Amino acid sequence: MVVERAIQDWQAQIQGALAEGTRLRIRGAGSKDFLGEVGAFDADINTQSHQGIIEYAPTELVMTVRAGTPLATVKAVLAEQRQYWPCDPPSFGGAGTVGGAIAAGLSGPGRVAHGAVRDLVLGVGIINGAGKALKFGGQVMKNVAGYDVSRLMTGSFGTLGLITDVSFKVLPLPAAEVTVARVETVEQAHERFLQVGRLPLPCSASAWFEGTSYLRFSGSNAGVEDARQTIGGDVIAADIWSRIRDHRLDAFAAAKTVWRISVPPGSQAMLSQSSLLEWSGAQRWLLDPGFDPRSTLSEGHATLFRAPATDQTQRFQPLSAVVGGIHKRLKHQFDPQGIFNPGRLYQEI
Amino acid sequence: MIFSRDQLKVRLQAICEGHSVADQARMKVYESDGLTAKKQLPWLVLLPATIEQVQLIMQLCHAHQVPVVARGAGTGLSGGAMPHHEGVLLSLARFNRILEVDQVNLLARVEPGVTNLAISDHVRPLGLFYAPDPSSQIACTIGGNVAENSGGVHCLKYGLTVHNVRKLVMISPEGERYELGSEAFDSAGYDLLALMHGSEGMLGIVVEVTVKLLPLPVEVAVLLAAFTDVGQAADAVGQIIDHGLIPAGLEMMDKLAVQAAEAFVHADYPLDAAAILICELDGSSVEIEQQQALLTQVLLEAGAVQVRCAKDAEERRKLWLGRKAAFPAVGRLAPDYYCMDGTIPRRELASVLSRITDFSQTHGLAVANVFHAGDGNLHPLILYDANQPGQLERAEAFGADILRLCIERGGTITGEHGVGVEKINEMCVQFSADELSVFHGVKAAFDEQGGLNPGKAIPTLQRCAEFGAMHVHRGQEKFAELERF
Repeated sequence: MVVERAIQDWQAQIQGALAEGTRLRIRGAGSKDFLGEVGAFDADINTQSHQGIIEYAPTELVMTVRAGTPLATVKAVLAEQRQYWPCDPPSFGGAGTVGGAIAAGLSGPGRVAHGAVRDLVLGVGIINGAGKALKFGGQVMKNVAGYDVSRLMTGSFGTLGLITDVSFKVLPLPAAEVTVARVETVEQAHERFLQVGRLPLPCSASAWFEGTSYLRFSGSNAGVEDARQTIGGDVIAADIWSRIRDHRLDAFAAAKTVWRISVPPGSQAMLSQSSLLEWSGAQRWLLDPGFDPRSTLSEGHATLFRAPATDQTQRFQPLSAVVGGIHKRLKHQFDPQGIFNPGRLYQEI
Repeated sequence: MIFSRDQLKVRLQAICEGHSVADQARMKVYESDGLTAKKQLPWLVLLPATIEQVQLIMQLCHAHQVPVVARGAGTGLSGGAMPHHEGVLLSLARFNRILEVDQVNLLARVEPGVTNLAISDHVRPLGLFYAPDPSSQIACTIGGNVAENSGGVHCLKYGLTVHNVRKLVMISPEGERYELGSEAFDSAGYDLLALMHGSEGMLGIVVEVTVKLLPLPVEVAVLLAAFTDVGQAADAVGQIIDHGLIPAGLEMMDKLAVQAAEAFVHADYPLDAAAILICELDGSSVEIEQQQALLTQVLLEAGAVQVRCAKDAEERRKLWLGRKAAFPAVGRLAPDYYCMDGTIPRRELASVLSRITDFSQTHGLAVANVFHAGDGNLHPLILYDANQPGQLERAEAFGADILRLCIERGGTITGEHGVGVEKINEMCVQFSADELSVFHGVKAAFDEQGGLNPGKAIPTLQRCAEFGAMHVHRGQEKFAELERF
């Protein structure tokens, strides 16, 4: 196997950090620098130069790319073949790399139809904390050889290793797509989203903000038309979904503190305080709520998504003692000297 | 407190209030799973019915360093539930209740011993279903499905078990209860919920599963396409996807499998076909009508000599019955069969099938091919007779050739049946020593003492070294570039 130059360079940098006892911050485009704890680091390990599509055969519905490949490139290359990556990770500020999308594990509005980033990841190449280049998973849909390290890496915020390349599942672009809007309260919208979820309709996104609900249907011409007639509402042409996904709504620009609330879709928790409702109600956003949502949340979890640097609140929901213990032991196995992104996710890892 | 082995046995049996098996004759039922070639009697079989009982069992076994092997229905095909001779075989069969159906969040909370099909049967009157449907769904349990990350004929569209489970309640090797995932779509921290899927009972004991339910599709259509050439049938799979169609299921059977299924269940399959594709579409009525027309056209252009659409529910049931009964049907052709489970990129289907035909001649054993064509997941069934000297060894050598071919073509040694004890040597081919060390590290993070299902799924480096040496000895240096240690 030919080891790519960039990987050799990173291995050398990691060996240097191990020898010197320094800590590294893994960084792609930096579009999610604001997310998570600041953590402790002495130097950056930058993935942005490690770009390009390694393999893409459209009939396999799989793409393999280097971690630094911009999300925009992936989208454009897939679109040429009338395909897409349905989890649609956010590109905050229009930037973002595939490696960053995997590390953060954030999914866009399309998550409700074809799954989250973690659902579509098939394989990863990583360098672990001992500087070893390793491969897990692969390029096939079904694979149970060994533990699912690829999905473990998804959402681990770089704390377990440096992602060098990723294989993920893609799908044909739907033949038709329509978005319908309706002026209504958040409670009405929530009720409608739950009803739509109960119907066998090709609903691919749902959102409510600023007094209007939006539902997107994607699929065959007939299926989408059928859904539009069944659900009603005003058909809108503008692309609101990337604005929602990337938090380019006016209210977000003005907010100092943004909380992400992840709850069962039917939950009533913080419904009326939500500025943006997504995923049939399973993802809710609170802007400058003026209170700690964790103090009242009895189900799901809350992330302090954006906050002034001076805000000392823990960014991610604290873990139970047993699960926290597993985290610490996993971190120790993957990165025994704690060189990768220490403290970015939780202080102990 | 530490007990003698005999005292411990009494204690453990008392925890289960008599639901245990200790005599050799009655333990025979538990000596193997679906991979009957690998047998082992356990020290003791326990059948707890509550989470507290499981916790007490785990605490005692941990303190006494007694291995624990969890078992659902024992339908696994890789020996993952094969007992340990000094260990407890922990049957979760009495955890058989559906605890709650949440019609708002579309979830079902069930115990791990509930069968896969029982969930869909239970929620069907509500217009809902649980999507993953392994062929053994009538018997296999949801806990086992989590352990193996089971697929089924509908996972092309609806995903595997990992995509359809929201939450697990787990018991650690030390007997601690903890939860992974939640009723929400995601959870804080590492995705341990995903990691638990396909972990083959090596990381923890699943005592409760919350699965995602989906609305039943309005209409379903099942098409059967017959081909006179296996390669054409294999290539048709890629062409279907190339036209933007993602069927709910896309299965392929070769001539021997078709003939066996037909003789067994009379599914009305064309006996003269070299291969058939079974394709299911679901959606609204109009949608199905359009997709069916396109699919028929693609299949005919790909060389199908016959494309038939099931007229009614009964005919659809029959077409699927033949596929789902393919394993037992092939089982009637020979005293024994050995089922393989490699996955390959779809584009390799035709050439891999042709290589399997070559292997069949080299090893002098017939093979029937049944597979989830849409996912590239092969199930070659190698026919042999264990009572004929040397045939089992030839079947295993044939199987090993197929698995190495799958790795060579960019695939994997197991798509959905797991590694268990069966494919443990091939793990040394698919993964490097460093990668295997990471797997051992994951295991240690959950099970430091190594008491859960010891010896399964992940080979020791020592074992790989011996396996590697064996291959050099036989002159098979195809993987000579791989690391030896």
